[in-house]
Amino acid sequence: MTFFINFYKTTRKWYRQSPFGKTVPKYWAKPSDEQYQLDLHYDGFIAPDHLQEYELHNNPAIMEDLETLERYLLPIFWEYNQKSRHFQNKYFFYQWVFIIGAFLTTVSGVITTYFSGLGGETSNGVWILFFYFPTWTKVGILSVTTTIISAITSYFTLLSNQGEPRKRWASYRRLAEELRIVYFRYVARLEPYNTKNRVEVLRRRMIEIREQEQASV
Amino acid sequence: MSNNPAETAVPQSQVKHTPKTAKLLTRIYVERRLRYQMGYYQSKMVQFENNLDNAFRLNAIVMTLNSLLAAFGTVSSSSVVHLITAVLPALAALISAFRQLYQWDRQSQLYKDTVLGLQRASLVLPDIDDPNEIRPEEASIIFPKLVSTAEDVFKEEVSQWGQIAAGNKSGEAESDEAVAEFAERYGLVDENGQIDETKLGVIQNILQRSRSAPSKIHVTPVEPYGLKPGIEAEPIIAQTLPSTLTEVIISDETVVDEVVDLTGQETDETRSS
Repeated sequence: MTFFINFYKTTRKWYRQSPFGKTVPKYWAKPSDEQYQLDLHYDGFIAPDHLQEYELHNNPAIMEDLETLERYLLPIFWEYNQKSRHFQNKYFFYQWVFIIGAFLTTVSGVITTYFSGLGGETSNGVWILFFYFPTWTKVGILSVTTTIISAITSYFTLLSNQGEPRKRWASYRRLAEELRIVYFRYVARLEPYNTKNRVEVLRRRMIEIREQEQASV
Repeated sequence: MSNNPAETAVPQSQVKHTPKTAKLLTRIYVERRLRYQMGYYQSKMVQFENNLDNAFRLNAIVMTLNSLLAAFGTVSSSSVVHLITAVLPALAALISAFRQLYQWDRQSQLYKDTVLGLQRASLVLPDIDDPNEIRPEEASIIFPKLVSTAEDVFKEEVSQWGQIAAGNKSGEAESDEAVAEFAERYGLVDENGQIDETKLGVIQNILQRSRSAPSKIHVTPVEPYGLKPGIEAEPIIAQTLPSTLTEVIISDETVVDEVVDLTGQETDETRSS
């Protein structure tokens, strides 16, 4: 019994994360300030408003570092983060269509074979999409159904090859996580952000990351 | 406060954090970066392991049912039994396809490694429950070390995660490809298309050293191994390696961050100028 309860809970959780019925826009739009601070907090960054106990507003050194990062790094992070999520969703959507399509094609193929084994029973006229077939057999209907399912599956498989969503998802995720690393290294004033011109170094690094994006996506 | 932080001289000009700030940042870093990420990884690990268990059990149930129905089909003339027996393997394949797609086992293993890495990185911290108990002077020393070590662990994770998502290649396969590309670029491949083993050893030494080295490695000597002097090995290796290495410079001149002899041993002779 426990197994079935756990199974139900896990499967429900997993299905909720499925790409169906979920649209992830490609471009990031800045939310309200309150929501933005919350996003910042839940994405593991330093959001002074949500860390009241540390009284960061009283520490100009940290606040200025955070402002610099807010200005130069975080817009790129959010952009890449959003694109990564968009392409991830797209990739899983195509994969789900492909897997389920392959399953349904197999099942309808099996059922077609089953009915063809029973002999061709003729039915009355039937509508398939916009076409009317005056006389038809069950085997015929099932064969057309199999063809339609496999055609839809092939269509989505073809679409999935265009734009390489998996590669783009991986590239943007990698770059976004790289930016997260830069964020904390900058706050800690680690090399190469341990010089007087570290804002300039950071800006240069952001350009390099943009160049990496051009090269890899 | 200026609108443009780039124009601000104070306190951006202050290169090192004061002990008090270092202590504050250590607390924040432990809370917001280390513990937060570890919590995330641990919850994901539980979720992935549950998914994996469920997929495995469901598959087992389907296959068992299939065997039973197949056996039953030999004594039964029911066509429905035959039909279900034919459909069940497709269902098993569907479950396997989802397992393959999400790669819960590999992801879970990757997160496990990262959590272990982060725990190792946390060893820099003194043995206390609350980071608030760290003395400010102590924090000045600990904080940069902690961030540096932990961020290297994250870098490793990002790199490996990228490999999984980008092509299902193992890290080893990708590393081999990187070495082959590097060898081709710098003329280390012979007429038969094979990489010279000695030269490969040299490359491997460089790679090996790069895992624990600072951001730059200067390699010398070069000639006996056929590596051309003066080449700046653009970070082709660094891009593919989860390490701190960002640059390999092969040159006659030894400008020291760290000097690596091509035999892989650091020597007094090579530690020069």
